[in-house]
Amino acid sequence: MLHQDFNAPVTGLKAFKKADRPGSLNITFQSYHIMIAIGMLLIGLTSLAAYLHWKNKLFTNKKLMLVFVWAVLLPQIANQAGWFTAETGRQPWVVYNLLRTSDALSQSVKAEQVMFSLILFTLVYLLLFTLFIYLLNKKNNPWSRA
Amino acid sequence: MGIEYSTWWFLIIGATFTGYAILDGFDLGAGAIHLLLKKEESRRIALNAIGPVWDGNEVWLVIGGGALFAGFPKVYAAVFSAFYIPFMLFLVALIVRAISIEFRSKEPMRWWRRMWDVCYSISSIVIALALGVVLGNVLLGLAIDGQGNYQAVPSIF
Repeated sequence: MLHQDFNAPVTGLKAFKKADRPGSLNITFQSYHIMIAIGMLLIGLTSLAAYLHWKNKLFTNKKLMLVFVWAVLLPQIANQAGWFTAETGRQPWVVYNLLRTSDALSQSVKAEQVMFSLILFTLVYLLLFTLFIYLLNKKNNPWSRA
Repeated sequence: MGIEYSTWWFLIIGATFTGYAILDGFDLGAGAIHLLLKKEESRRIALNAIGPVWDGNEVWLVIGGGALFAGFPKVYAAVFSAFYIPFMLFLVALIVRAISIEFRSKEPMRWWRRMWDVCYSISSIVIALALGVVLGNVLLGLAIDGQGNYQAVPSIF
């Protein structure tokens, strides 16, 4: 699959020097397969829903509706897992065979500054997520005045 | 043509940043005086004034930054690495400005609207302040070594 030809040989991991391999292959493996598993699960769910809708039995199926509510989280998780795969799998290169990650960092940005921005963005995203859930809940609550 | 390629880029980047200063300066100014407008109607009018255009005006900054990245990558690298914290604060302020315009009228409570008005105003000021810090320090001269690494700690003064 890698070379667009089922018979072409794929270079094994051992062929690369230790320093050229990504740091933790387990993370890459697990996150990739999580992403694919969620993808297949969502395809299955959608097919089931399409079939039930054809039979006009979709919207009365309470258990399936509950599954759908929670299934909204799955694409987010799959998306993140995909990015984990890409970013952990590309190590130690930023540009393959040309630039290593250890050579690519800016010397004038200190570690504390990066940590600060990381925490800052986490807080911003938490705030936005809370607001999102709060507003969405108010809009869809049958007892609210909105 | 008689003008060099790099000179063209320099002029384009200058024009884009100037355009941004004029266009988003208008939006940021409307935001900065927001708390000084006491009547809800005046605030609504001020928000409607920037209403259809503020998103597009921000794009000029993105174009300028992109052009800087493409045309003068060493300048881009030196400036953005040196002013990492101001740029992060600037990004958060951009986000807060956008959401406070959006969320302001979503709930009927008075404390809700007041909170987002304050957020809107403060974030507009922070955006202008952060960009001013970066530009001011660049104009004063950035102390960089051979590789373009900033030597001192940036301060507001």
